[in-house]
Amino acid sequence: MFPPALIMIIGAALIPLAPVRLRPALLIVAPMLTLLMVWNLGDGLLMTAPFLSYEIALVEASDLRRLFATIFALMAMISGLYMFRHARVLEMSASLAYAAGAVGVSFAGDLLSLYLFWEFMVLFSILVVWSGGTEQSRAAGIRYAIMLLIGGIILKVGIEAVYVQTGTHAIQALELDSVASWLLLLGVLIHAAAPPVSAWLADANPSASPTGSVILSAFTTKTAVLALILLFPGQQVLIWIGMYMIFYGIIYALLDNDIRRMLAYAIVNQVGFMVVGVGIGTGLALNGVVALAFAHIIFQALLLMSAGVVVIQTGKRNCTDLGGLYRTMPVTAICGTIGAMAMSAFPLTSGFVSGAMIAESAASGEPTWVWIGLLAAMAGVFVVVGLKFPWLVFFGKDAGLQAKDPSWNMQAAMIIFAVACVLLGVFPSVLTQFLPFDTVYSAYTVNHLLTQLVLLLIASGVFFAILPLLRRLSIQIVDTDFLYRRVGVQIWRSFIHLLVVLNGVFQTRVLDPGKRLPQFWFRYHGPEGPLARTWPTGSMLLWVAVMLVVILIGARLL
Amino acid sequence: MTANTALILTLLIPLFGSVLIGLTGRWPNLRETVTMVTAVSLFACVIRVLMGLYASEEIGVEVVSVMSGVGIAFNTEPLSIIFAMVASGLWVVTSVYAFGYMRGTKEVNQTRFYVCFAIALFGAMGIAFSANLLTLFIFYEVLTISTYPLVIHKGDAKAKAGGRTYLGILMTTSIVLLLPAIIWVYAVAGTLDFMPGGILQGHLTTIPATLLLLLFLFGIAKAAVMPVHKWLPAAMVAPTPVSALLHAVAVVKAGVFTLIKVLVYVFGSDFLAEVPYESIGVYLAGFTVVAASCVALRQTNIKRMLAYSTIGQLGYIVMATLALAPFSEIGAAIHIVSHAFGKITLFFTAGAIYVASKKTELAQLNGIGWRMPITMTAFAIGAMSMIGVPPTAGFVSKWFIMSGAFAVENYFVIVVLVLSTALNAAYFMPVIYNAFFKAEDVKPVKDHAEAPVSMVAALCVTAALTLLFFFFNGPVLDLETQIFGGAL
Repeated sequence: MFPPALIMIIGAALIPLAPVRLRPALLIVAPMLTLLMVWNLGDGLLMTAPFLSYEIALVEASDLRRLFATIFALMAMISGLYMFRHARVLEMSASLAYAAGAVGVSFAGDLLSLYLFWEFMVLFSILVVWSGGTEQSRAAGIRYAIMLLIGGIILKVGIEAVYVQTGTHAIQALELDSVASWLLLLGVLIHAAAPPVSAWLADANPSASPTGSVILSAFTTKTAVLALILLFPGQQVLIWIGMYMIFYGIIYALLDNDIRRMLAYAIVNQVGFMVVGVGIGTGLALNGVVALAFAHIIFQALLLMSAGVVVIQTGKRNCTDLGGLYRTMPVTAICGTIGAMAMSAFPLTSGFVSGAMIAESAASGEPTWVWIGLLAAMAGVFVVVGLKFPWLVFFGKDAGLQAKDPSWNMQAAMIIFAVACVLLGVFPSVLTQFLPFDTVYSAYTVNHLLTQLVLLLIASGVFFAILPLLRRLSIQIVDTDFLYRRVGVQIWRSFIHLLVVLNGVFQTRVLDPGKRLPQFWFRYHGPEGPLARTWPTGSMLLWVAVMLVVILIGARLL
Repeated sequence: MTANTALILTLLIPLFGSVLIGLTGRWPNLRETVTMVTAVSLFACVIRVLMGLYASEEIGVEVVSVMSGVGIAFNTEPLSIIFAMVASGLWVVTSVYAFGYMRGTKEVNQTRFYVCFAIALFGAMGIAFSANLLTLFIFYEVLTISTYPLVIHKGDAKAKAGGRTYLGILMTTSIVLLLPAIIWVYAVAGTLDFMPGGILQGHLTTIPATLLLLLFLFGIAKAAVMPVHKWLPAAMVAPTPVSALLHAVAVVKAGVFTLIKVLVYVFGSDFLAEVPYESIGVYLAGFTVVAASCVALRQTNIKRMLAYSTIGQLGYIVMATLALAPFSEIGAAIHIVSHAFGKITLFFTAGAIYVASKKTELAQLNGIGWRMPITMTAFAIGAMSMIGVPPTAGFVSKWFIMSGAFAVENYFVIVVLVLSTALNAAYFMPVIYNAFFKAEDVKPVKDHAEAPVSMVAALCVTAALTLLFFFFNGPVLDLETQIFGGAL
């Protein structure tokens, strides 16, 4: 028995060593073998290992965990197919290791092994960002690294605090009644790009290479969602946080002009839906979250794949510079549009079923505003991604760019995921039969279809009303990262200034006098110093006489 | 060979080794063989002492007794054996490295270098196995003095200036602060022996105890608590093997080791808990950690950055020891080992870069990762260990320090750990990035690849140790648990 993640870790280690021709094979075969192993795992605790005098649970399987591991491995496989002709060897290797970390987290049986795989995952995701190779990816990668390492250490602090408090590392639903569990929640939420640090995602993702963006969209935030499902199901506070993320994502995606950054904000939005679902916490809601996570990884990757193709083939990254590409790159246009529809929960796509499950669970048992909020948000997503992305990039006004469809492997990857989006929408039972929580739900009711279509109709009305505004859009928007980047830098500078002052005081008051002390001694006691040199007998006698006189006078006076 | 003989041999071997090295100085190959034999046999003797400790043999040797309670005496306990193992074991690796380095840079006075190195190890062993404060103090000074010629090895004005600061701070603090503190302890307790549970309980009232604590904290300048840290960056003018073994392992670890010895075996944890304002030390060390990391961020020279990183990492150990939780004491002791592995790797890579390319500044490292992939991968591993991410040694010790801080609810320690993780990432990440992801600015005049084989081999060994310690830390953990207790 060994952790399923090990297959991909070995694959990642072999890629740089293997002959160039074998690398794509490794990149695709390793996740395939992982998938095989994942589906042959029995349930329950399967493997433990001694570590730091604890016995940690390295592999524990269940339906929920298996489903997440499946989509992670699948994602690694298809994105491997997408990237292998375009990416550098380091990016390929790091991507596979990154995905391996995510698979490891899926099966982590206790908090300690969860943390270990988690950090492993984060480390290699940093390399994926850096593989972008530009100055922007360098700076964004360092910011990303610092943010996620802080998230990691808060997670670690939380885990230790929980351990000290409860005496166990077991993964179980926690109550938010102590600093410890709040810290743990905070650590997980930072990785889920929750407020106020949502900005790291939109900062890092578009700064990676076009292929790296695809990889980065899948793992970090979804493992955080898995952790939330396992640790904090039904915590009311998550509804608020998720709602914030949903609308944050919509507003920033609406205002942003860079296509990949726009899609990165959409990730925050979609993860927001999942966080709300976890907050609702019923079986239906959690099933919805799992289904949405599964579907989202596919359609988000599909969107970023098509956006990546556009960036690679045209060299342009802003919506306002693009348009009319469907004529010259039909495959990309169709696939991208299917992805956008799936994200907008369009009927007959994968997003429709999963989105409906979360909305339905909010309709019963939660305050009405949650349900209304979710519906409004779905309409919003249709505006800012479902219509804005395909319209401005592939249709709309022709920008006169003569870009062609990409190489066969990129097309194949996009087609596979596009088919998957439709398949999961038309035959939802392919996925729903594996959902971990026991509830029956059918999305295709007349009532629900009607609601959704009316919603989408209103949304398209809104979109074409604001379209002229979007075309002129090239404003620089301020995000919360402005705050901590500026304020943080300011605090750091002040601290450095304090250090410089303290150092100066220490230097002039202690060290410099300390250095002068030997010079002082040397001046009087050194070879030529007045107290050490040889004196003529005459002057010595004179001084003896002076001393005697002083003593005599002194004695007389006393 | 009994464990007692081995204990004596750990002192005699480096001492006579240094004489032999001096005598064979005219034949470099023979001299280096002697160095190697000395290092290996020293390590073997330390292992023998360790086995004696495991077999619970009675180990202790008194050489001279000056007056009651004062003398030159040696014994061993878990903490000292760990320090001795690290110093002597890494001496073997460093010797291999030094052969490549000293020949690669065509240094002069190589015989003096190896002689002083052996004497420094003699000092370190003496500190490790000292049974009382007087012995410890004497060997503490031996270590200071024997490393001075190594610091000024280059002999130019810069080296001499660095050496002055080095000797000035270490000597002044030890004589002006540490010696009076030791005399004070003798005056009140009537003995200088290290005893489990301490010797001060019942002999000292509380406020003077605070003063005594501060005397020790600053008197042991080798632990580099700010503001008595300045000797460490100054010592970076030394050749890299010196910086690697002595100023990342032997000397600085001697400092924190001395401090832990004093806190655990002179003060004793129970008495320490009664000392008012004991937490001043925690705050000073915490400040040192954060401030040193900030200063490291602003360094442009590789070795100076590493020196400030060392100051910060020593701060962890001091802070964790003073936090007075069994777990963080264990963490502090483990950090002696894990930081040693990581930091010696980082210094080895700095030296390898220097020998291969003559580069010393951080700004020159763009794209060097593809010329020296093994070296820079080792650098990345060392850096990960400094940040404390798995799977490296640094993770293990930080884990325990943090557990301890939670157990006593010392949130200051936790905040410092979090902050310093971020800062460490901020100054190590760009180096790794620049080495692997940036293109070279200018093609070097002479095409170069990795440094000489002996250096690369050495840094591979220490990098591997850094990784392996994450998985196989059981023996160290068991030893520590013996002193500090605390059911795991």
